[in-house]
Amino acid sequence: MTDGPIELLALLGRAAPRLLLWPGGLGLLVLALTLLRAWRRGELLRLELAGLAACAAPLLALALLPLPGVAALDRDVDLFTALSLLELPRWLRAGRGWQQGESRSSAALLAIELNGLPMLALAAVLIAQAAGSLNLGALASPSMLGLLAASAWALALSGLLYTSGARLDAFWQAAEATRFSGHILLASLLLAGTLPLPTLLGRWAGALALLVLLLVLGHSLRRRIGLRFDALLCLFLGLALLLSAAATFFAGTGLYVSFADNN
Amino acid sequence: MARRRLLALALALALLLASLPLPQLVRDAPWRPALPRQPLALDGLSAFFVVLALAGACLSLARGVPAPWVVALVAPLLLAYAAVPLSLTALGLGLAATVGWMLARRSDAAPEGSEWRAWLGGPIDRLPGPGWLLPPLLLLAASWLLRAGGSWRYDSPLAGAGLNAAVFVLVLAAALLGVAQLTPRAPLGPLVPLLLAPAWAYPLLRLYALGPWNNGWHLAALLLLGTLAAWSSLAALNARDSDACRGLLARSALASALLLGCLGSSAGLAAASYGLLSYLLVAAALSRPQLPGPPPRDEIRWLLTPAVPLSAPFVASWLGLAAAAASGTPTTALVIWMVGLLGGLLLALRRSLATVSAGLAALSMLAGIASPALLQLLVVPLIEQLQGGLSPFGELQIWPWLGLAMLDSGRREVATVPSLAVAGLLLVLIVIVYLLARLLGAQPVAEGTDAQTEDEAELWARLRREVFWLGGGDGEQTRGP
Repeated sequence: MTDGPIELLALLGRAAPRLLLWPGGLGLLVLALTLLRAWRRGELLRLELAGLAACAAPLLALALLPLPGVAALDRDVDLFTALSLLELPRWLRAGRGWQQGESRSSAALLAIELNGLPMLALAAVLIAQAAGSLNLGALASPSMLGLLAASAWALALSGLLYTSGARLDAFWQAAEATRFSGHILLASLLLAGTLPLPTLLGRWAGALALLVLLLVLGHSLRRRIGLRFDALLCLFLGLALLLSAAATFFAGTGLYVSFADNN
Repeated sequence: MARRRLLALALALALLLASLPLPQLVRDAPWRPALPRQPLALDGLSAFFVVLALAGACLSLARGVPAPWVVALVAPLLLAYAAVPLSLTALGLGLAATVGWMLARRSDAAPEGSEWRAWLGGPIDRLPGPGWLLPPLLLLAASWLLRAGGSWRYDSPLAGAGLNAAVFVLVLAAALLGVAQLTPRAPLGPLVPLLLAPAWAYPLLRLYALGPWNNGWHLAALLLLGTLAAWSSLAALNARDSDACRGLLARSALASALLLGCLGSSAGLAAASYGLLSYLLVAAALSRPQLPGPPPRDEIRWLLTPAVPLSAPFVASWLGLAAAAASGTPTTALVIWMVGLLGGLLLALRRSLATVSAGLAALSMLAGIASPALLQLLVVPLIEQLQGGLSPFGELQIWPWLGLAMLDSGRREVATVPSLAVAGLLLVLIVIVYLLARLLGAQPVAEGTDAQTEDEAELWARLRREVFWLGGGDGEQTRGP
């Protein structure tokens, strides 16, 4: 590996097939179709930097996912970066809506985000506990804890994917659509990595089926018991985290170790 | 007056630029001028704090603090303690003298609307209470204990012998009390968060120079500082008064930076140092509620929150999460995450809280995207020199032209953010989307009118009602989407 600016250029060059073909091409297709639909309905496409950034960020997250068959990049991104790229459109939209005097829809959007994110954070920490890393490329390790955490991720996602019924400009619709596909692929990636099935095809089919099941389950449970569902799930995940931290403590990895040794 | 401030700013900026190479210059060996008894010594940690103090001075002068002379007083104080090997003693004495002097001034009875108050500026109407003397006194006590066990000087070979639980508890208590008193009601008003922030991190981090910490100390410090950070950010969310909210927000950011410093690994130290840098930007935004002139566009506010990838607070949160994950303490990761999320949300959505100028936002993005270079330049020397006191649980890896990674004790990558590459790819994608949109006939449209009349209180009341963990969440009212 050479050092210096060449390294950066080389990485950008190697990323081109990911951006334009697979999986970025898929995102671009979704984006183009959404924009095309708006155009055919005769909607005015308002071009502004916030809208462009809102479309580009989830697209990039989608392109960087290490799905099967992607071109190799030697630098991975981690779960936290991918998640914040995927969620950027929502934050921008909430801020913008509020600025333009639509505080009701902004508050609804923010409430959806804030209700979903604690569980995603807990699930991400659990995933990191199970796999020993937050890097997307390193998450494929079948384990009970990993599967539990990935399922919790999917359950939390069922709330986050919900769109408040506000009417959106074409660009923001496109950003939502790209974000949606990115989230689905990311959650399937997490589930496929942890499912203990022998073949790649089997893992992905299983992951998609499980994801649909969990999304439907999360949605219907949330309909039935409201916010108590989120609170319960959070509590459950916190408990799981506590147990896994205790396991780390007694198994002796991490900062807790030397503390245990001391006593 | 304006000319004097401009002069002060130019001077501070020149000093800052001149000090930037300092950490690299002292990387191999601390700088000791050949004076009798060697009263001065500058190592990586001191050099970093010199840069930090000067950056704070520049930012506060640029933000138009009402009293350039206060900056002129406090910045050299910070420089002095960072360069003196007796730092705990010097800091304790300096702070005690400053606070004592201010107390004496108060007993002179500053009448209403006096010049005194105008000098301090900002929304303060209270001068320091005697509680402010406590942290400097604790530091003095700690340095006396160090002397009793070994030596006053941290660079003496005997220094490590004096490090015991009592010293640690005193220094930690001083840091906790100092940070906990960080509110806008503090003596120097809005200046304190900016300029005295490093004062509470320095003594604690300096303890690594004396030797490794006992593991119980790590956990105690993590517990206390984590509680302080989490509690402050939750309290900030519920604060009605925007002054109180501002102080709590600054406190939670500073406490979370200190928390990372207590992880005791080089990853944690890097995260803490970068956290202090990013804290300066946030504190600069908080330091002025209103800027004269037309208000800048609101979207800019998001650039100072962790919500926007590659902004400085984002990189600070990322470093914190990754360092916590690398050291195997998931609870720390959750605290960092919560503090980042709530702080960002408050900064972005409470207009009365802070003014984010375009320059500050640009600085935040620059510091975030160029974080590999910044860390390499300023932070790596201090990590290398404090290595003796650090644990192997978490290590920072820098690819100067790509980004950052965190390694765990087995040298596996725990988290990676190729910040420069991500920024480049994002730019490429924005262009592609732009071309695609132009192809479909999109038009640049003039921005709609800004309706600034919306009620902030309503937004927050709604959020409190509809988010289950913000307190008072009532599941019955919002059943089902």
